[in-house]
Amino acid sequence: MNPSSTPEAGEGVRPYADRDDGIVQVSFTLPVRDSRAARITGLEIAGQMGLSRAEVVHSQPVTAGYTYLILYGSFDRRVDVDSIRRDDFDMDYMDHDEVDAFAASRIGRPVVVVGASTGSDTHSVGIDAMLNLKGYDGHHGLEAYEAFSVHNLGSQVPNAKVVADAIAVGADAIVVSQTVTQQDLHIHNLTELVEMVEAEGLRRRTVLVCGGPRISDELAKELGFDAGFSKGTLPNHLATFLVSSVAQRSATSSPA
Amino acid sequence: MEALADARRVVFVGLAKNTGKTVAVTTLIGELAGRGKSLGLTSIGRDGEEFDAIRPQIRKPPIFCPAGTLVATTQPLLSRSQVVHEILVDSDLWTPLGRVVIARLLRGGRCEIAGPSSSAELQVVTEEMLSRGVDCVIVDGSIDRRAASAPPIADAVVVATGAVLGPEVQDVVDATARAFGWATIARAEDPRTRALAMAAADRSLLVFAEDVIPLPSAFALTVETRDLLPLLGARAGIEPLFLIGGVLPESLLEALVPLGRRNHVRLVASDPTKVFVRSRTVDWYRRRGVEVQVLQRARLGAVTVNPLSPPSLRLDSRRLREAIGERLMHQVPVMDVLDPSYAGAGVPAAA
Repeated sequence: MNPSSTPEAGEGVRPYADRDDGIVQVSFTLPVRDSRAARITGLEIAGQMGLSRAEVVHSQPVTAGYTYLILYGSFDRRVDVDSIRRDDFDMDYMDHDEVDAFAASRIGRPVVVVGASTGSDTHSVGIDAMLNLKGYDGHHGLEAYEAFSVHNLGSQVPNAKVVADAIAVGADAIVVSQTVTQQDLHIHNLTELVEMVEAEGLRRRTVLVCGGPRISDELAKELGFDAGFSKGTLPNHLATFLVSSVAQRSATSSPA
Repeated sequence: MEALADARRVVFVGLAKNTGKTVAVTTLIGELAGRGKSLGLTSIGRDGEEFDAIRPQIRKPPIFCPAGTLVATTQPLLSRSQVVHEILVDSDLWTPLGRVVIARLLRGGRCEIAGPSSSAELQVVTEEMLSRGVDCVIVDGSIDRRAASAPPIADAVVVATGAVLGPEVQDVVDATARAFGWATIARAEDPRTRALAMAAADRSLLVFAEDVIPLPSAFALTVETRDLLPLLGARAGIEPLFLIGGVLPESLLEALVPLGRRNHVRLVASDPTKVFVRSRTVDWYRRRGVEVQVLQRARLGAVTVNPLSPPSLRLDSRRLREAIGERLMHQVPVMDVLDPSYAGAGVPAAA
């Protein structure tokens, strides 16, 4: 548990627009013609979401029979920040140089990473941002690190191919990305990878990571991955997790 | 449910939400406890919509556990249940819902169960509970995590299915058969195949009568029809037998279909959880001359049906049970634990 506790956090927090008012903005599309009926339905939905004093501040037709709405409303309850904080909640990330130095002293060889955007997903943007030299938002991807030997398989890669390549290169870690997902297809894709890695007997020695806009760390762990990364992740976040995990595994698996 | 009588590790799997898995688990717990058996209870995996990644605490309905039951669940869920308990083991297994502990319930009560996330960890907590003297460990599993149904982990698998899978009896039967085709994969019986496969362990082999050809690692994961032609083409007339050490993916079966038309092909994996067939069924491939077998079958202990699908669909329970029973060749009991005709799971009293 994080021992630091501020008085405000103890009382709980709520959304802040002005003076602790709890104001939130929600937006959604309804399959209803742009009309009074659409706006009233929007207010009803806001009410059922637990928002009080809701008002429609914007509505417009999107296409025939559909309306886009923006509403403001007030969330009157509070959430105690400390009650949800956990040991691994906020990781302290190393920067590029620190990761390389850590890997050199604690692992002593490059960490072999196999990455791909799996299944039917054609989007390689997520995995490229993490792995490619060019990186993302001014941060180089894992290819730029001395700590890693990276094999980026690209997009639409079947899980069987990911596992085969991981075996071929002796991967320490498998990193997969799922960007666009429909009908929870990404869930089946992700669990299939875990099941295949288990079936090949590689689970204990392979760090498994997934990422994407709809993937949280909680979801990833529930699916059997070691971690999940969502929006806002920079390559050094992933890098920190990978070198820490591989160092921990080699420490526990080698004889004392 | 005679098949469950001697099973020490029973894994329940629901094919979808509202298939009545929790009711089935609760029923078995009641029956076992009523016969004086001591129980362990844990869970693995995510149950479709029942899990909410933002508010994971609403994940699963609490299950009533009699006094004396061992549970492997997380510390926060246990505290929240307010059931009087003593903690026996504080594991280092971490889940999104907290750290997994093994506790003995000193009084009966309702408890949310969230066990470990990986099947290796599941095996650890299951063994731990058995070593502490429980007669039977019940695992509340999920469709997505079938590694938990592997023979080394589960003595029997109970599948929960129901009207939620389709509007007609036949739809439910088909969907159930599709999802659980792997549970009916036949065992390779001939001693030579078994001996060769045991010796090969996790390596893969191609066998033509007396010829045994080692295959490269990851062969099964990557091979295509054009690679198979030179391997198989020269031996027309002899049935090829593939012994697959690890994963047997659907891509391998697809690659063999053009060849299977001319010549029957047999593949043997170690157990059904190694066989990954999603777009078609094992039966479909068998009819095209590509037959999958396993060294060790998963034991399908029972099928439970929920003839109700919210909000209003109700199928005829007896017809549904009979149709599924027929599809499973009457080898597995099919029951509706809420039907007036249900007479218990046939669990004998403790010795």
